[in-house]
Amino acid sequence: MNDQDKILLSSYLDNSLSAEETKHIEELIGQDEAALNYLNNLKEINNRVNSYFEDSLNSKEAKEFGVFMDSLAEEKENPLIQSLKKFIFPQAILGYALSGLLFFNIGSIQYAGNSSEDNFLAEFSYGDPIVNSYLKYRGLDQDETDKYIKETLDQMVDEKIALAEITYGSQPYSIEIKEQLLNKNNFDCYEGSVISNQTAKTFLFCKSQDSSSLILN
Amino acid sequence: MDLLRDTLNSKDKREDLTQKVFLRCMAITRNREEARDLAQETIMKGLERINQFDGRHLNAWLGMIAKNTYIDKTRKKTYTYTDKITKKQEKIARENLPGDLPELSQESHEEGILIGIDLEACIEKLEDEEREIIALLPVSSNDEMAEELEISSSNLRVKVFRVRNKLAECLEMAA
Repeated sequence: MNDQDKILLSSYLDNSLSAEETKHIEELIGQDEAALNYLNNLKEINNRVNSYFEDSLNSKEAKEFGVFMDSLAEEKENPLIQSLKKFIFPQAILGYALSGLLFFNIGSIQYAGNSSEDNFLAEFSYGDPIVNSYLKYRGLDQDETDKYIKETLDQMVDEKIALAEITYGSQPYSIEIKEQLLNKNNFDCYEGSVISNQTAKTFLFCKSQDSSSLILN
Repeated sequence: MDLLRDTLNSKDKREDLTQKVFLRCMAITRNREEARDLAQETIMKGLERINQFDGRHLNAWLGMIAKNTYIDKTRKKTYTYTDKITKKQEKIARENLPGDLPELSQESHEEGILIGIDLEACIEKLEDEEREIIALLPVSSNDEMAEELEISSSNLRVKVFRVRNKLAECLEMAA
């Protein structure tokens, strides 16, 4: 086994050899015990180094960076919300005349608009977020994430705060109410996002005086 | 073309970039909290300076921003400790800032701990580029990394081989 073979053995670990080189190396490790030992040692080092860096990718800090990166994305709107908006705001489909007629017929629904330029969250504060922490008990099969997100959204709407940070067990979630979709008497619907573990989900949250409902997608 | 913005808006590309930027910052700082802060600052600077990007290798360009940001920060830290400092002293201070190994008590010299500490110490001894190569290997193809480093694939093979050999020697394994 010469130095060139050692380099090829290292590259063999990375699957970066040509078919011809792979054949040569597989023959070599079949015949030369020193080459096989060398390869095994390299494998061990490689596994340890990979797990050292992969562990860091699963760390709290890496996840926090992931959440930060998600927050920079210009999110595409969830199809469910789009359909709902089309239903509530039929201008796009039927034109202004028909929507005028619709609103004339169904009464005085004050809708919160489908344009991001409209600021229907003017009453909401974007300052300090609500911070809630929920314990996750071992052995509890049921995932209560949705329940706690809903509970926090209730609090956010009551306190007129658009941002919240919750922790369920060790898992952090960032919640943002982005838009008010409907506001009629004591019945309000909001759209927003929940970011956790490098993924963003869209929610639709509706609240009346006595109850509330959450659709998370 | 705003490649960074496009990358951030695509879920798959964003996740890939997230891993690579974080690992590169881990390679630079050898500390998770510092890596997170540096990674965030790198992306923010990247977005601010996107007009300076030549459109070729986004990861390499962000890597350069990360390195420069870290050097600036380290310099500031160093000057905090002393008013007048020589370049040699600065170099020594830089080498000793992150990842300094604590003195271990006799009780904590358990095998598992030692293996982790040994590996960290050995990674610490690598050159900056070597650390980056070894950090990015699990999440990058060889071609991709060779292109980023602007070296040939065969040159990259040699570099990877040397890094592994250095680690093996450091870990006193007969590789």
